[in-house]
Amino acid sequence: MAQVFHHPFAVGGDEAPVGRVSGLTAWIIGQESMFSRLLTGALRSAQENRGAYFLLAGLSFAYGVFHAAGPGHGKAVVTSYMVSNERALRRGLVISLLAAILQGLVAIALVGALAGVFRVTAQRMNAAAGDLELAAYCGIILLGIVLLVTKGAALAATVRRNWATARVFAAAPPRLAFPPDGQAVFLADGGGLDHVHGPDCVHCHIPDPKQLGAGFSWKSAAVTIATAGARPCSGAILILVFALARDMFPVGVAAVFAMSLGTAITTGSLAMMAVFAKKIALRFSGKGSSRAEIVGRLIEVAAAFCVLLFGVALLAASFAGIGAANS
Amino acid sequence: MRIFGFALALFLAGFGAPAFAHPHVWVTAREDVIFDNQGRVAAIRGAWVFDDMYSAFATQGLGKDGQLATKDELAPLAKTNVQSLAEFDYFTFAKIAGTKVEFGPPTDYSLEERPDKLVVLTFTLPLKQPSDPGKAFTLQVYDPTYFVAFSLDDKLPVELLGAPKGCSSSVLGADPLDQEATKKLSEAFFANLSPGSDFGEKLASRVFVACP
Repeated sequence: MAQVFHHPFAVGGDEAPVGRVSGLTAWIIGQESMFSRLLTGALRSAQENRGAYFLLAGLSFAYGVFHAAGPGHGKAVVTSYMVSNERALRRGLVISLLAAILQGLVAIALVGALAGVFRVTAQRMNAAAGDLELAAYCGIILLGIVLLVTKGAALAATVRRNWATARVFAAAPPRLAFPPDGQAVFLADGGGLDHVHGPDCVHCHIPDPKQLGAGFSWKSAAVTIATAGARPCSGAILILVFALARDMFPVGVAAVFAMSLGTAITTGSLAMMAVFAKKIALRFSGKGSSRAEIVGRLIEVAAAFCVLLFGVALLAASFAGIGAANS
Repeated sequence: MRIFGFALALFLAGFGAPAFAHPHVWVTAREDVIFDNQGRVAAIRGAWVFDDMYSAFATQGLGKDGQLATKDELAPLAKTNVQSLAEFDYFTFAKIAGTKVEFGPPTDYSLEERPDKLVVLTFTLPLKQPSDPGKAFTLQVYDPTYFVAFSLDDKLPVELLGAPKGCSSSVLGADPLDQEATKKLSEAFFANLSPGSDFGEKLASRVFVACP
């Protein structure tokens, strides 16, 4: 996860370190490195050659796709949020896109205002990025708590209801009764003829999956977008500062937006995979059964817990880093 | 149980997988090996030239009216850099006959903006115990987190200062992440890295110093 100490040559916040890697991870690093070099090369030549603009946009896009493929915290937050709270794919894609665009905007605002207008030093910019990072981590913790509370309550309700239903049905299986007056009635709840379910029955004993599934609120979606997008990435900051130094800030801005689109595609795919994976898990446990319902709830609670844990770990690591930098 | 295994795998994919970065900062390093008058290795002096992107980042807001940033202006950043470097063994890893060499805090350090607008970090790292290099003194410079990609200077990667007669140095290991070579770097190279290999170390070239 996040490294404990601030990197000596950090740009903005700390990037996740490379641990021991192999296979696919190593390959992705290779692709990232390659696109990073090509991208900065295109930016350098964009000064003399305007034809390089399109190349730059394409490379930025590709870089965004690969750069987002690693498990940075933005991806992890969006994906866990999707597992915990979402069933609607389209909404997940919108959330991914907005988070990626916000991340680009934050980098542009940060560099544009601090370096472009106020001409601050590198340390000051790192400090500002560090503040954003802390705010984002606190946001992740908040999101984790909110999800954990709502999903925990939903799990408890599901378990309680299933348990109650099972007990009642075991005692008295529902049946059709034929009273002497000839009108067939449906009996449940172990009740006598005084608890009859006829065509006019309005109280529902079987949960409506729509009510259970949604739980969607734009508030928690907004917090997800904000926390996933608040932390600007080092690559974007470097590109913008470099472009600014060479008097071609707008070119840098365009490159960062292309990068955001690439990032959105990767994050969106991960979010979709998360939703599909959850669906498959539910199918395996018997679609529509009460077991599937409980399994679904458990997965959601676990994902909510992961969000919380992730936020706490990031915040703790970041405080450890500050302690080390000040000592 | 299969379901929980599945869910667990999903979360591990999101969290437990090794986090990674790729190089954002590129350094071309020159390492000088400084000997004392008894022929022992006393210190390593690094001169690290940063790429133009990081250089632009480091010098932003400095250098009045298009002038180059001065050493004084860059001093606070140099201090931050070197202090943080202490937590990472200064990215400088030396061994004598396989035994790790311990370094003390840098005796001097500075950041400088060259006329070509590239920033150079220079610092001198004393050995805690000046040591006879013998036949097998090795030195590697790399960032284990791989945020910085180091490569040794092509023309003058290492210089022996005040070395006894007959000492020599050589550099082994092509640097595949050299700025030009990166473009040609094949997928195969990365795919064939053995599992658990440490990226930064794997890609670092090795300096050998041997004295009679």
